[in-house]
Amino acid sequence: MKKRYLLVGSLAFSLLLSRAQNETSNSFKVNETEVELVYSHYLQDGDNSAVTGGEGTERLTVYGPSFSLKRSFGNNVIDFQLGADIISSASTDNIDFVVSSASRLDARSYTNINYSRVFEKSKLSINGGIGFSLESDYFSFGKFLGATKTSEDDMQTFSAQLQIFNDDLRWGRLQGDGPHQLIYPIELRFQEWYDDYHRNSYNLNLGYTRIIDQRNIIGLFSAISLQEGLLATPFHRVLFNDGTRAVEQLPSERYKGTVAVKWNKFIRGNIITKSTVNSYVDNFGVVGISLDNETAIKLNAKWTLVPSFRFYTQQASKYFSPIRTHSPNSEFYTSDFDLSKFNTFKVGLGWNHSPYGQKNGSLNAFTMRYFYYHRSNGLSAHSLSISLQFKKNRNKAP
Amino acid sequence: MRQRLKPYIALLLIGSLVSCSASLKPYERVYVNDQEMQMNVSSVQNFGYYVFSIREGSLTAIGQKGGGGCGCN
Repeated sequence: MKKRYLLVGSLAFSLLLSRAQNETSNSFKVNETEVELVYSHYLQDGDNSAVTGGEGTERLTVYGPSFSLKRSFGNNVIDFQLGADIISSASTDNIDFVVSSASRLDARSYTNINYSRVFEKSKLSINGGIGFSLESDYFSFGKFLGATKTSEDDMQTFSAQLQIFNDDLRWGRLQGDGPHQLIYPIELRFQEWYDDYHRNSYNLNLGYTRIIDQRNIIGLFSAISLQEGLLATPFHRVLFNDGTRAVEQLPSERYKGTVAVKWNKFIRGNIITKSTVNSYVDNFGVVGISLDNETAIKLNAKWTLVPSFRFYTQQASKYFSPIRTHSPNSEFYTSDFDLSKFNTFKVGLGWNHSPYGQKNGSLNAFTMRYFYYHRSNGLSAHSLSISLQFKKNRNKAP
Repeated sequence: MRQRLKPYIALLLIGSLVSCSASLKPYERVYVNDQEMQMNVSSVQNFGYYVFSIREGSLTAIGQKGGGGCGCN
């Protein structure tokens, strides 16, 4: 009889102990700081600038440094990003045909701050944030709200994010006298071409990922977007077939829809392929599809080589026509070759370096990516991005 | 007729792949937990998507730009 009590007592004690252990492991909170420094350099050339009506140089250089800080404490994450794109553009210099004019050099400064809260029991994470982006001819105020839910067995994730951008296209913020007017090509400043200078964008992004087996993960992603307001660019010229000219005119509403399927596969001990198919359609008549592959080849525990390839094909917008082919009687017209019919391909090479065993707070990862981009109408570009990531862990052993 | 059915067959295949997968135990997650297997987009990849979103008339469902901007250069 005593033995029975002893057995029951031991079982109860072991249950209590295991519960206490679970509580201890649940109460373990993350406390770490990640810093990332990124520099991107972009060189582009082409002969179809929309500023000069679809003919003329598209030479462009972008110098893009950025800094981001991610602070995780307990179930909270704060993410802060600050960056700038310094743009040296031969095409926007042609807004007023004055070589080395103010429009030759522009800058986009941007910042974002996001807060996430993780609810461990329900495996739910919610996040919200705001962002600003400032250029001489553009100001954008973004708001973000999202949620991610992981299934009980950690095999599936569902995510949703709503983004709202409220933009102002008036010129003059970086010139010191504040925003006051839309900037038109110099010979077309005799009248106001638009009665609105706002552009609002509403994006809803949905995602679903699923672990298929030990070596395969599949993801389904979609985005729908509504844009309203001034969707044309005020300094894009259109040269008509009768010799007259005007600024670009586009409808005040644009609906966009896109769906992507991504498949990550761990083929062998050291090769991972990441393949994506993305399709797109909008009410401007643009239909596009892209095929994307990135393969990670792990050379050893520290070094990974990442070759990549992308092909994209696009059907032209119904409002696009090349220089001197539009009729002045049309309601909408553009000679922006970004909306024309073309194919593009991208080939790239990157490498990742993870210097394991370093001191806490020192370099955690080094990443470099180069790609060459070619568009079938002659535009080509080179891009190089470098990222340095540092991580400091302040966790104390439970 | 076969052309029309292709998207539905593809969806059916994806659906069956998704529905037939069984749970993995923690020790079976070595490959799926690898950093390179994750679905998220890195900062350097995101710059590429940002370029495509400007130079192409479309939008990608992966690698959305987080900040606004004209993209008119």
